[in-house]
Amino acid sequence: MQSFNYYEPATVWEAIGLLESLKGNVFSLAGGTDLMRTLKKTGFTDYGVLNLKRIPELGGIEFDGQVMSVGALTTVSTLAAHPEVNRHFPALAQAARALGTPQIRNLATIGGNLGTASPASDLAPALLVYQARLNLLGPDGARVMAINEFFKGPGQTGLAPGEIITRIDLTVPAAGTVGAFLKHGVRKSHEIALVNTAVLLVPLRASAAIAEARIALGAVGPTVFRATQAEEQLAGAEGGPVSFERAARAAQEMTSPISDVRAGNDYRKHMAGVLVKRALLQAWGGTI
Amino acid sequence: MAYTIVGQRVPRVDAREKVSGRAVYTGDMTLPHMLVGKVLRSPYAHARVVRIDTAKARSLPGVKAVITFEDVPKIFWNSAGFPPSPGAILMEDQYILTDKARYVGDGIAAVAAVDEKTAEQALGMIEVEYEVLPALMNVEAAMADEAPLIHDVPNNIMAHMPIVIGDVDQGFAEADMVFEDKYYVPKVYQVSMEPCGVAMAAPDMDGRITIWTSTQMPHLVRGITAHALGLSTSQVRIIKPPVGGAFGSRLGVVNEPIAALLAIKSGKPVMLKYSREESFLATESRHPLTMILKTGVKKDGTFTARQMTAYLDGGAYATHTPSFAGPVAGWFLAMYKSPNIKIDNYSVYTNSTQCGAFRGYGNPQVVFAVESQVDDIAAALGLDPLTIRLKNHPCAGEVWMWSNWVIESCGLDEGIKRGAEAIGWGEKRKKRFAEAGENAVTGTGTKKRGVGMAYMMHVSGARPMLHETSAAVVKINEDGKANLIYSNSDCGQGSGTALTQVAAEELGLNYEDVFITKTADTDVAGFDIGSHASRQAYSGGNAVKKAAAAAKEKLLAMAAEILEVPASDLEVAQGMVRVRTAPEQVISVAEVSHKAHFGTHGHQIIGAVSEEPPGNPPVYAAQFAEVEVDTETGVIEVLKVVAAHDVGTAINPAVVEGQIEGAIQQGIGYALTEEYRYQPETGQPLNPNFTDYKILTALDMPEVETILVEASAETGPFGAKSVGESGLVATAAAIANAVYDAVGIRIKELPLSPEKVLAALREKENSGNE
Ligand SMILES: Cc1cc2nc3c(=O)[nH]c(=O)nc-3n(C[C@H](O)[C@H](O)[C@H](O)COP(=O)(O)OP(=O)(O)OC[C@H]3O[C@@H](n4cnc5c(N)ncnc54)[C@H](O)[C@@H]3O)c2cc1C
Repeated sequence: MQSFNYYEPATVWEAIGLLESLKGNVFSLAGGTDLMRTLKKTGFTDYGVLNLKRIPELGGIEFDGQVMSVGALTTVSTLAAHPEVNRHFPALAQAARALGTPQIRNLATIGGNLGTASPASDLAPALLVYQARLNLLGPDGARVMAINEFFKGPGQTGLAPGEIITRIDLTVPAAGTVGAFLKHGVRKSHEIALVNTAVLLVPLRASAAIAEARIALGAVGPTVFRATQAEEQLAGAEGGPVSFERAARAAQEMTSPISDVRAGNDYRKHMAGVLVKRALLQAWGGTI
Repeated sequence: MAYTIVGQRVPRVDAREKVSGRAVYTGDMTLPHMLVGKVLRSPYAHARVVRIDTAKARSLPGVKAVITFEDVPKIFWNSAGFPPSPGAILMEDQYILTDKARYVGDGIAAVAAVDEKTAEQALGMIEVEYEVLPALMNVEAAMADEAPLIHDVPNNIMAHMPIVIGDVDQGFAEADMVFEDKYYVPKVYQVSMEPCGVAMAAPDMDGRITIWTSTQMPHLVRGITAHALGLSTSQVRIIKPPVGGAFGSRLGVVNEPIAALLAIKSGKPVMLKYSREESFLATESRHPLTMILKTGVKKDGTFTARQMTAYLDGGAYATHTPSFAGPVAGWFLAMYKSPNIKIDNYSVYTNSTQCGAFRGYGNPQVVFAVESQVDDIAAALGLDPLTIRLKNHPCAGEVWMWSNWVIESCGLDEGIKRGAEAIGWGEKRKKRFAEAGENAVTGTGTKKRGVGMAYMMHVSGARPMLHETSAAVVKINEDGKANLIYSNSDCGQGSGTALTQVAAEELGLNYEDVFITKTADTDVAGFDIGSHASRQAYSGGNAVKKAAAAAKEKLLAMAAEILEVPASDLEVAQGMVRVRTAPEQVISVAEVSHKAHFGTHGHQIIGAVSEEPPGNPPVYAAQFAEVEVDTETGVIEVLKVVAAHDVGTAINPAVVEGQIEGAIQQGIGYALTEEYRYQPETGQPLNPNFTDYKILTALDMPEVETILVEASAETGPFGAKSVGESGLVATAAAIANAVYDAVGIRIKELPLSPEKVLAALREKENSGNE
């Protein structure tokens, strides 16, 4: 453990002032479940730590029936248990329940999960299919970024130096929309995904056809991503094992997994297809 | 025979302090002026230190000692905690710190400083130049003729152990069928909750040194540490506080000599506490084994010849390996009867971290191979897997080849019968390759269920290979309560509780009125081998029971004097001495003891014993597993494990069941998820952490049903045999056999990972033998 400068702003404006004067040479700390691990491994160099947890504006979930505004400090266990999240964004609630362990979920935040930009993030695929909008604030002011522009590579985000995520906005999908999240690993808990996927299907009113499909995958590429080719195949198609199998294959084609100590790339690719198919069926309400 | 305290589920002696978090482990301790020790580890798997410069580190304020190879006594030692015995082959090949790194993590230098931060900073200031040598990461690479030598032995083979009984060639010629298969089991870690490697050493002014250490064997660690430091045994005092799990990882010296040398050099107490990562990097694991099995059978399932050639990947230092080859041979040899047996065990050095003891000590490796093959043999002969085992296992009254002693008792047949019933063997085996159907959560048709079983035998100590000395002193205090002074090497298994029950039962005192020394102290307790080979109940229990009996004899003699009856007419129970034929004639143990202390001839009633137990009765177990295999993902889910164990008398059934259930968690991990891996060219460890070294979580545990078969041993204390290790020995094989039953694939390498399952399913599909 080295010594380092520690800041604990009480308001978002104080935080921005600090971020500006420190010129971004500071790590933002939320739950610390990723950051502390990184810092223990790599050291603090010349950076300080800015604790965001005392800033009230970054907390809480607000919901007006149409748009949900999730504070960046919202913990994963809060997301998992929140009735409105479960009702309107079930894939996000399922993803939250699949993340880490109870101890980790009690500390880990949604903002930190995005900030880490792990290709194996569990929340990111769900946030992708719900087309989350990220409210950012930094020395240069506030802006909104669509989540599909946020991830740039493993650990790389579209955040400017000194910029933080304040809140995440989600709009309730069209009536009848269904969604699911599936994660694959060898353990049932405390597992980093070998593959994960979130899917969302908007049915064409009063028919067995799909108006719009959104499919996101994690751990099978440098970032989580939307399997757009699979989505296109499903738009207008009838939902069911045949179309889902075809979409799963298209999604699988878009993956570029690595081989590491956790799994070989072939297995990850295979499982991407299996998981997308299963998630689509689970969301749609069918059997494989 | 009915007992009052033996056989009861009394609360453990250490339960309260542990569940409340009050127990003080070595790592919690502190002493005035205590320094923090840290070890500089080799980043290379195989490398010579060409230059080392510690000047900068030494001049850093707060640094009190820096040691390298230059500073360590040039005395070779072996870390394995064995007493000098016929079966201990103790090749001494290590120094406290080395100038030739033999694995990533090998200790090159060590520092003691006023705090952790300074110690870490000092490590960073030690300059080391290495000449990197090729890393030999498996036995094939290490034994190759052109391979560089890790130590100075040809082909990196530290020992070859051949065993020949009868004539296997003739046996194979007589066989109706001959099976030959190659099996591989990986390196896995004990991963006790308290990381392995915590020691605090404090030198005194008289040339002695006290080491508090998280160990399984206080006395043997004392001897080895003293030897490594060039001291005589009694100059070292080992104190063992509560230990947070061991499972073999602390079966010998871990980091005590480094802590001690830093303490001697600095003249101050030094705490040396390994991180979880260091426990993986630098402490002993289970041996990876390559086993080639050849078995000849008659059509009726009689074995005509059994042969094993095994390569034991011992890692960078000999430690246990050449001795470990003995039990490996023993497990194989003694499992099934056959007139002709041949074994060749090769102990090989590689550039991985040295291997040592892990619960089961070679038995899980051998049983995985043997029981996988026996399952195939049963299938080929059309025999029920239960039948072939019942037909060939050694029975009570026969000589057990492991020890060459007669087997005292055998509860296997009953265990197989009750276990089969509990898992639903009859009905479920009939539905071979059946769909999981209505039970499957998703009803997907991709999930198939199967049941399998495996059997094992294990020891209650290591006689006659190793000495099994234990010592106990029982003293009865003025208030009639007793102290049991024992080198209590309970590391979480509950042996301290069982021994307290044995003492209380024998003395006739209440369980609550006997106090075992919870902390082992080599300056106080008599010489004891420690916790290994599942020996505490049987070997420790023997000494404790006899010491209690000796005290009781003196107690009754004193009571006889007071009551004016012959001692032989007296009995003692629940702290009261009674005349057997006239129960109204009664006196409390407290009163007798008080009279002993303060009556005419002042003395305390004390019983003391030091001896080896009379035998080594084997235990048996049959484990059954039901699994569900997802043919699309390759994931195996264990639905249920039934563990039928013959443990002899269960001194405390709750402790016994806890041992079995905990072991099964490790056994399932061995079967499905655990494997410590190295980058094959460089020897860099790939998963020295709990993210990627996958032990099972609570959610992954199936239903476990434990069946205790108490086939008591005549020589055991109140009939006890053993249980500490055996719970995981047969688990992986039972699961592998259940997978075979479910989907017809035979995977001969652990762990049974989803990738291997899918590959085997594909291969099976391609070969078209659905
Ligand atoms: C044992 C263990 C298991 C885990 N399992 C999983 C898992 O299954 N799935 C999974 O997805 N993750 C897992 N993680 C990773 C981690 O818990 C999650 O990514 C978590 O959501 C991170 O949140 P945090 O609040 O702890 O972030 P922190 O560690 O505090 O921060 C992480 C990063 O985000 C930045 N950051 C934090 N808040 C903001 C903000 N408001 N704006 C901008 N940047 C910010 C920080 O500067 C830092 O770079 C696991 C971690 C551990 C230790």
